[in-house]
Amino acid sequence: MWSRRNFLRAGAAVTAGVLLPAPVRGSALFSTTARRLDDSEIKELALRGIDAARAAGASYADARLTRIRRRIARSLGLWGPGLTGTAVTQRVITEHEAVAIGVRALRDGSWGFAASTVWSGDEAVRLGREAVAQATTNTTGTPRVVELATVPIIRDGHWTMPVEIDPFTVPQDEILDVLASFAFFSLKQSRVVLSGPHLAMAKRETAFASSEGSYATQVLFGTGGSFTTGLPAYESTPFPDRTYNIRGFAPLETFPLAGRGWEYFAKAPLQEEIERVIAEADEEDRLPLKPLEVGRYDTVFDAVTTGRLLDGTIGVATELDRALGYEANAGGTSYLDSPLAMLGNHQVGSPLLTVTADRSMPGGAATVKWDEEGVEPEDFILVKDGVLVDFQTTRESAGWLAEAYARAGRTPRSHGCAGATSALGAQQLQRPNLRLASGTERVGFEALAADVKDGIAVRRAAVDMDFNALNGMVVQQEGFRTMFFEIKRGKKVARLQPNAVAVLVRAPELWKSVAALGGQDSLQRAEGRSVKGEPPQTSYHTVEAPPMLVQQLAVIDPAR
Amino acid sequence: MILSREACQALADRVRRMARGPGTTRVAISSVWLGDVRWGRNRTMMAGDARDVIVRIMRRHRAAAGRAETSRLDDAGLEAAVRWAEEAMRAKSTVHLWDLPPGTRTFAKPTIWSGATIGLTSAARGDLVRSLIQPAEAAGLFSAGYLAVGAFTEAFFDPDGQQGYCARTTAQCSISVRDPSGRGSGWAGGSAHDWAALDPVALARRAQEKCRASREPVAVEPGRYTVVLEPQAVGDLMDLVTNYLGRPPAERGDGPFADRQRPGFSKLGLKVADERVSFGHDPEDPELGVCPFNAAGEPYRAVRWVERGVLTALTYDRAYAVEEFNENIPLPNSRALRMQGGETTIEEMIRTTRRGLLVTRFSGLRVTDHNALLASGVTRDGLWLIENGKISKAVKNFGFSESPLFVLNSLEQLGPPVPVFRLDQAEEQFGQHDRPAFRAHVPMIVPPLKARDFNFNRLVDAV
Repeated sequence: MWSRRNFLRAGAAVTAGVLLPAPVRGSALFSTTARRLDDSEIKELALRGIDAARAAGASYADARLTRIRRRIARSLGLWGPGLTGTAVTQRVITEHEAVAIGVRALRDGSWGFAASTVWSGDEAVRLGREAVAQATTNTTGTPRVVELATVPIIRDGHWTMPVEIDPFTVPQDEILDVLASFAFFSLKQSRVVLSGPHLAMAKRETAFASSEGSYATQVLFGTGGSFTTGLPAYESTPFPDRTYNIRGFAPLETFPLAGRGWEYFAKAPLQEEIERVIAEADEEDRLPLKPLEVGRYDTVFDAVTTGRLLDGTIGVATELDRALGYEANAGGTSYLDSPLAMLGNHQVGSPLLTVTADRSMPGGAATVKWDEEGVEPEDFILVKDGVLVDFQTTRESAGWLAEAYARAGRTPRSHGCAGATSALGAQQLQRPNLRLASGTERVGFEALAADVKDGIAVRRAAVDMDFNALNGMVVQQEGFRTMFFEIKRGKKVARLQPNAVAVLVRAPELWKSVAALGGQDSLQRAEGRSVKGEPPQTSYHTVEAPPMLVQQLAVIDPAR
Repeated sequence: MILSREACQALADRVRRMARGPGTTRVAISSVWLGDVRWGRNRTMMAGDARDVIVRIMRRHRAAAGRAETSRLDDAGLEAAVRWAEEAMRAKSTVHLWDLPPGTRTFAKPTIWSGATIGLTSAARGDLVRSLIQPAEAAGLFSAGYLAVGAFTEAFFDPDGQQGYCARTTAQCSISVRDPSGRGSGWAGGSAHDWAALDPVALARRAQEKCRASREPVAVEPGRYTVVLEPQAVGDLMDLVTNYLGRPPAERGDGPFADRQRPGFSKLGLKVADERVSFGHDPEDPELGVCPFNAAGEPYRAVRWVERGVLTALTYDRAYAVEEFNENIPLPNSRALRMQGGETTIEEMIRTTRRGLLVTRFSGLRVTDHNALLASGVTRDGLWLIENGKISKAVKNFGFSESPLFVLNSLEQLGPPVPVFRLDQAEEQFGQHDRPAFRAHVPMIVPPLKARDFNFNRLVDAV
C-alpha cells in the first residue's frame, strides 16, 4: 500500500527532475517572446513521445504540445454615485501561461493517454510508455474495433490564424486604459453602475505529430469579453450606500468569443453600442408590464436566441458520440439516436432549414487549420432542406457511419471535429462552428414581428434543453435583460414579466414549425459553449443564425 | 507525482529570489495527479494518467498589486511570470488595503488523505471496470461510466511568513446503464476522498436495477406533486443553495437571503426553512474533509448556515469584515455541507404517500431567478409514481421550476443523511477551464426527504 510519505517522495523526485530538464535547459524553447511553436526541439519532443509509444507496442500514437497564454483584464465590483468612486481604478490584469504535453496511444483496440506539464525528452518518453501502459490495462477486456479514417499526411505544416493585432504584443497599460475608457463612458451615459466588465484574450500554440508521419503546428487566438451597463432607477433608493440605485443591467452584444485579436476590442464601436443599448432599454421600458396569459403563440426569436436554440438542439444532437450513447454518463444522449437509419432520410425540420458546420469561418471561435488529430476540416452540411444528412465526426467515429455513407456512395472521412482544451486532455468530439442559413427575404427581427397578429417576440433569452437535446424551454437569463414582448397586430404592445415566461420547445416540432427566417442582413453570431467528456472539457464555437418566426408554441408561467 | 511541502517551499523560494524592485511576493502552488478510465457502450473508451501544476504569483507594493500564473517550473518560465506580475503592479492594477495577509492563522486538521485512493493502480482500475460492465452487457444493456482517482496539493506562502500546505486525495465512480432501445436508464454514483468509502460494484448494481425498473415509462400530467427525493436529488438542490450564502450581496438586496422588507439587511436571524432543517460545515468532521484553507489562504471555520430553520450565518470576505466588524477575519464558504436528517426511511416515506413521485436525481439545473432562487431542470434516470403507499409505475421524466428553499419549507419527512456524489463545479475561472484535472470531490451529506407540492411544469420525453 502506498503511504502518503512514499507518494510524496515520488512527487519530490519528479519535481527534482523538473527543475533542470536537461535536454532543453537554456534553450530558446522557453523564450517568453512570441515564437512559433515549430521549433525543431518541439518536434523532437513530440517524436520521442511517439517513438516511445511505438516501441512499447502502440499501433498508432499521436503527441500534442500546447502552450497557452491568457490575459484577462477586469474591473472589480460595481460603482457609481452613492458608492465610492474608487472602484473605477480597481482594475486587475492577470497573466497566465500553461504548457502541456500529451501522448495518446492505440493498442489492440484500446486507447491510453498520458499528459503532464513538463517539456523534456525524458518526460516525453515516460508519457509515450505510460499511454501504452494505460491502453494495455484494458486490452484484456472485450476488444473493440478501432478504425481510424484515413487522412492525408501533413509534412511540417504551419498555420497562424490571421488576426490584425496579437493581443500579447499590446502593453498592459493600453489594455487597462481601454477598459477604463469603457467604464468612464458608460458611467457618464447611464450615471450609475457598471458591473464587472472583463476582456479576455488567449493565444494557443499547438504542435501535433502522429505515428503516421504528420507534423503540424498552429497558432490560434481566442478573444472575448463581457460588458454590461447599468440603467438608472426612476426613483432613488433609501439606502444609497448599501443598495445600487439602478433598475437593471443591459449587456452589450459586442464580444462573443471569437477567433480574433486585440482589434476586436480596440476597434469596437463601444460608445455607439452603449448609447444604443441605453436608448433601446429606455424605449422598451416605456411599454407597460403585463402578466402572461398562458397559451399558444406565434413566436419570434431574435438571432441570438435562434442561435442558442440551434446549438442546444441540432448542434448537440448531431454529435455522433452522443447519438450513439458514448456520452451517456456525462453530457447526455441525443434525440437523433439512430444515426445509421436516419441519415439521408430523417426530416428534422421545415424545408426552410439548412444547417452547415465548419471550422473555417473567419473569426469563428472553433476555427482551425487542423483539428487535434491533424485533420484539415472541410465545411459540411448537417441538415439540408430539413433533412438530416450528416453528423459531426472524428477519425474514429467517422467509421461508425460507414454503412450509411456507403448507401449514399460516400467514403467515411473525419469532419475534423476532434478537440481538446489543451494537451492535458485527450481528444474528443467537440462541436464546430454552426450556421443556420438565412431566409431569402430581406427581413429582420422587427419585420418578422410585424407579420404576427397575436404572439410574442423574444430577445436575448436562455435556452435550457434536457440531456437528450429534445425538450426544453426558452427562459430569461438573469443579467442579460431578456425581453418577452406581447405582439398584437404586428406591434409590440407590452412587456411580459420576464421571470414568469417560459416558451416550451420540443426539438422536432420546433424546427418543423418554422414559418420564416430572417434575411442575410439579420444574421448574428452568438457564442456557443460545450462541456463534455470525463473529466469534462469545455470548448467554444460560434453559432451564426438569423431571427426566426415559429408558429404556435406553448408558453407557460414556469413559477405556477 | 504531486508536490511535497518541501518541494513547494523550494519553488516558492526560487520565485521570491526572482523578484525585482520593491514590494512583497506571495506564492501559491497547486499540483494534481489524476488516473482515470472512461467507458461507453460496454467498451473502454480511454484510460489516462495526467499531472498538472500551477504556480500563482502576486507581487505587491503598497496598494499596487499584480498577478500572474504559470505551469512552467523552469527558471525562464517562472521568471517570465514574475515579470508579468511586476508589469501588472506598475500598471494601474490595484488592490484594496484590506487585501492584506490576515496575520497568524490556525488551520483545521481535516481527514483528507487515503492510501486506498492512490493505491488503486491502473491495472486494478481496468479490471474493476470490466467487472462493472459485465453484468450490464450480459443483460443486453449498455453501460457507460467513469472511474477516477487523484491526489491534489495546495500550498501558499505569504510575505509575512504565514504558510499553509495540504495534500488530499479524491475518488469518484459513476455509472449509467441504458436500455439499447432508449426506453430505460439508471444511474448511480459516488465521490469521496477515500476510494475505500465507495462500493463500485454496488453502484453498478444499483444503476442496472434503476434501468430495469424505469423501463416503459408512462406519461402522467405535469403539476404539483408530493415528492420523495432520494439523497442524490436533495444533494443536487442543496448544491445550488451553497452558492447563495453570501452576506454582502444579500445586504445589497440581491439573492434569496436579502430581506425585501428592510433594504440593506439580510435575512440573518429570520426563519428561512422548516425548523427541522439545519446545515453547515465543520472542516474537522471526518466525513467532510476539505483543504483547510481557500485560495486566499484563509482558514475554513466551523459554521452553521441554517440552524433549526433560522438563517444563522452568511459568508463574507475580508473587505466586508474590515468594513463591518473592524477585523481582518473573513468567513469563507467551503461549499462542503452536512444537513441534519430524521429517522424516516425512504420505504416509510413511500408507504405514507397517497399519491406522489419518487425522484432518483435531477439534471441540467440552472437558476432562472436569483432573488427567488428559482431553478429549472429535469428529472433523470428513474422517476416513479407512488399511489396508495406503493410504487405503481415508472413515469416519463418531468421538467420543473422550483426553489430549493420552497422544498425546505414544505417538508413532511426526513431520512438518515448519507454522502452523495458531488464534484467541484468546473469554474469558468480564468486559466482554469483548460485544466480538466483540477476538479475534486466536495463532500456533501444530505438526507432523503419527502416534500409537498413540488412544481413539475412540463413533460420531458428524454430517457
